[in-house]
Amino acid sequence: MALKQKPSWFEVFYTYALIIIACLAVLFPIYWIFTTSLRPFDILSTPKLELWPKGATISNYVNIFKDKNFYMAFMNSVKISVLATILGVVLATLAAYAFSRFEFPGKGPFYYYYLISQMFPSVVGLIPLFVIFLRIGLLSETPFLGIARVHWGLIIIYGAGGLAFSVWNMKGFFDAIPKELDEAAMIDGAGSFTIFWRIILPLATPGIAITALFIFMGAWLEFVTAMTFLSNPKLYTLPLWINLSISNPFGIPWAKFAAASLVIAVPVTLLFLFLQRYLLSGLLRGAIK
Amino acid sequence: MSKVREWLTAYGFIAPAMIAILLISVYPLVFGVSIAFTDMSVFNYLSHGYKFIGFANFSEMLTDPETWILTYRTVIWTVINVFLHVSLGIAFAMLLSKPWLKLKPIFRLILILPWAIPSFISIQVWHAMFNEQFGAINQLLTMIGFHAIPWLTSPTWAFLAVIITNVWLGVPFMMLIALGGLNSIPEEIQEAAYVDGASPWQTTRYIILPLLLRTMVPAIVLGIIWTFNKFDVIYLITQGGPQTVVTLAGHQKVMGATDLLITKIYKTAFQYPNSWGAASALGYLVFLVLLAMSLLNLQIQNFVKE
Repeated sequence: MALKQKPSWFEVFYTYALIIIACLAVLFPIYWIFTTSLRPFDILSTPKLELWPKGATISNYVNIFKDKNFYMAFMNSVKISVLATILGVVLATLAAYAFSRFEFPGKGPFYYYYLISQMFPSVVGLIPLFVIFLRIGLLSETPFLGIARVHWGLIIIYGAGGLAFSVWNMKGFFDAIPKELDEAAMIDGAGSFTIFWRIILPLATPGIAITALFIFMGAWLEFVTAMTFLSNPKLYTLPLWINLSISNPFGIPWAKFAAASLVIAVPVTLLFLFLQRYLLSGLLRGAIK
Repeated sequence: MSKVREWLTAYGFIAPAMIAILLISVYPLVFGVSIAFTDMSVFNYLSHGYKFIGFANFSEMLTDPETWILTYRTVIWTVINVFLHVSLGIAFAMLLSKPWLKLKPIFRLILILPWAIPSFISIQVWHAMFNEQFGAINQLLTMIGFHAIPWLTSPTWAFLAVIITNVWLGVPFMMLIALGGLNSIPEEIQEAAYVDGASPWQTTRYIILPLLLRTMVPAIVLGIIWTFNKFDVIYLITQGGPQTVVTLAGHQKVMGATDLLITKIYKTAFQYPNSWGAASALGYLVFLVLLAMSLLNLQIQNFVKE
């Protein structure tokens, strides 16, 4: 696009007009949820659209943190997401290293596996998983190591469910580390695991951080699996708590919903904005080559 | 390192991930096939009262006209969504690539927001905005002199509502892919076209667009698969509803006006009639359709390359 042509006024006009219309369409729901979260009444009863709510207040945010059920769901989500992330990162890092450094039979089919795993509707996979987990007791509420067994079930699914993507993503970071480093260490007599642990892993820290954050974000607001596996409100995760609180038959507490949504979504959204270029580089690498 | 030793080392590193994938993805996939040949449900599972019923689930599914209505609707849903995702994505990527555009980073940041916000939250926000009485969209419409629209109670409007939401969610991803694709097209190509006397429109239409679409094929295939199996948008906004009475082959039947194959599968398995067997059979139909489509696409791509 280096052609130094002066654009016509019409081109300038429609370019800005279309981009600004699109920006408004994107920002409107965000603006709406933000102003709703500041409404003083807990029920969205204004039939008119207000630019700025009358008597705007932050009391909804304060109330969220006083809500015991919100706190419980928040802690459940933190616990599950963090453990799932640890599990997923360990598995993905080890496997990605092998895909980056070694040649072995069966390497090729793994790439097809990624596409195929996307085709199999995750909702359909839920049925056999539900049955298997029921059989091995991973749907029960009795704790194991201080965590409800059904939560362990979710941890395993969130940690291992997106492995194909995590491995693919992590491999890109390993590929960027020169192979000469491995070879030099091998000449010095280091074994494969030592090379991986002592030399490659420290260099791949940014990649590990990014993979970890993606797994975390996938688990943080996952809805379908949690909805299917969890029946006791005490064990609910954040999305289920939100769903429960807005299915109030006596009028949806919109302001509370809005404030909670923002509290839950804003940190994750900021992280995501920061990380998105890493997410895309993998897909584009595949696309351009 | 000898070849065999290299293999063994590699398998050692991969083993934990492979075991997890076998346990969480492959075994359920295979086990799911066997469920599809039984009448297993939440009621007979624990008592082992379920039995092998051969192809009964499949024949029932294939002779039920509802299956075909849902398939047709899922295809329409996928075509509309992916078409809008890709065309709007490319359009805005091209607008954002204009060299004289000011505030580019800010526009770009705003336009990718729908992709960055956790979709569970944005879907719930759209759900709230479609509320007939108190939703922001009807408030906006009545403010500028239109009638309120029965977004969630009329079959047609409800389908439009879920499409609007899904388009809002999906355009940024395709836009980013298109932006990456545009960057990968060498500037010399455009300069050469300019020197040869092509107008900007001709350059875009006959040179940039075909090259761009080719780089976007993997993303578009993924987009089709994702859209075909899109569950949360439908489930959270309309739950597949509103319920409508359809006359099928002389019989009256109540079915959700916005149900897709995927929501039907979920409901069959985890709501009434809680039939895991029938739901699995329907799930494998979806899987086979997508697999066939992807293989066909692979063939076409290879054909084009040669």
